[in-house]
Amino acid sequence: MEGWCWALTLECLLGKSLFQVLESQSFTMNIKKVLPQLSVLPPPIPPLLSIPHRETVVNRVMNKLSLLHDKIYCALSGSAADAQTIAEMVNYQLDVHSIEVGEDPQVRSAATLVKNISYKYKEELSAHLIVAGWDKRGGGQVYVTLNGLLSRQPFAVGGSGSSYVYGFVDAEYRKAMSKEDCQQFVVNTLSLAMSRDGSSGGVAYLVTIDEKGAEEKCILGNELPTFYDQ
Amino acid sequence: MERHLMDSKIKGVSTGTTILAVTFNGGVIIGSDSRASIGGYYVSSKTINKLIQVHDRIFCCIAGSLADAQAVTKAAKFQISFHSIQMESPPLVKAAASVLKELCYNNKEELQAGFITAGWDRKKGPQVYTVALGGMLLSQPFTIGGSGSTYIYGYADAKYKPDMSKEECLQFATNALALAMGRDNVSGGVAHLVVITEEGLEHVVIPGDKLPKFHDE
Repeated sequence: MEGWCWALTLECLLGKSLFQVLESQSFTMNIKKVLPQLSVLPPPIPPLLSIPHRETVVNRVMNKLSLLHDKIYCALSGSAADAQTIAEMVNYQLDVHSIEVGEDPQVRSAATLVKNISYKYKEELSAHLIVAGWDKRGGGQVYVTLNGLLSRQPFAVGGSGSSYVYGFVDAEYRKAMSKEDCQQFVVNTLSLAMSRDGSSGGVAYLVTIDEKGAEEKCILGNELPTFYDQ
Repeated sequence: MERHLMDSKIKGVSTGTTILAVTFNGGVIIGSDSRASIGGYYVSSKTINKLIQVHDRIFCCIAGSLADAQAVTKAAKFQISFHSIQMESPPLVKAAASVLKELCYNNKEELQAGFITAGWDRKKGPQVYTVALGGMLLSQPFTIGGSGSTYIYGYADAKYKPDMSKEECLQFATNALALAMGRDNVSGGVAHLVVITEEGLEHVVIPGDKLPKFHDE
């Protein structure tokens, strides 16, 4: 059973893509070039960040790892407004569904609901949600729903910073890692992506989901692992 | 290796290739893939050699428009041999890189190519220089370039160590190329590697099926 390590991997890798270090105007320019639709979302810790003149800070304390159900989370990237709306809609639909079937929903059901919305409103929306969680039938699972495609994968990365770490995750991923190894793998990946991508930075959020439930963790920027040139 | 519109959004510098150069203890390894493509849809050559020898111990590899790169390296090769005859000694790697830089900077409107120059000279030993699209010259312990390089920034940052041995460095370069070729649609074919040391050169060619495989996805 592949367990929770995949789910963990996904959540974090996506979560980080939405953090931006807004210390100067130049970062704003960078963000606009790479992800013109991403609304500005600073990490929820002081110091107070300067408000860029092109975009507006919508919410200083937004959680980008959204809960869809007790043991199913999704990670948002792309247009934050679109992503958040999809997550809320699916949260509602899943609640109804789980009452109807009388038990916890499957991860695949949640992913299918997300996929249906992404596909139907493909032209209007611009968000990528990765759905991951644990259910008793299939254990830990991870699904990508990019552009309306539904695909189960052992792990997935997404967001603007993901291009820089494809090589790293391909090389370092192992099947059936232990929980600690998996958390270390995810944190390393996030740290590498955050150091290269102009639109990623700040803190790293991790959610570990297994049979017992979901555990959220936040790792501050200065506690992330560093590599040879940092 | 014509210009691919998607790539200019990602990096704005290079297209259709993966190139790298890494220094190790006593030498430098320069490597590239071997695919040439048109518009990212058609592979025009599966076995092109992107490592050009500009002098006995100096190589350069090209990313960007193939035509531009060939023209520039031909001119550079001539200028470097002439320079080394005048100096009556083998050229410095920095001199070779500077020649390329001058050509790129003075013709920056017309050209669409970036270079990595690597080699060994008596004065500073193994060195790696990048010449970016507009003509910037930069010396680094290792460097990656081309469209496939975006996918291996994380891997290279994590795995590079200063003062590696030749075998470790060869493994690092091979892995990096294999990973990039696995993700980038305009990089592929075989992996060309050249090991440059004081003693001489060693050209290693690794066919696609002998490249390291990672978890099967």
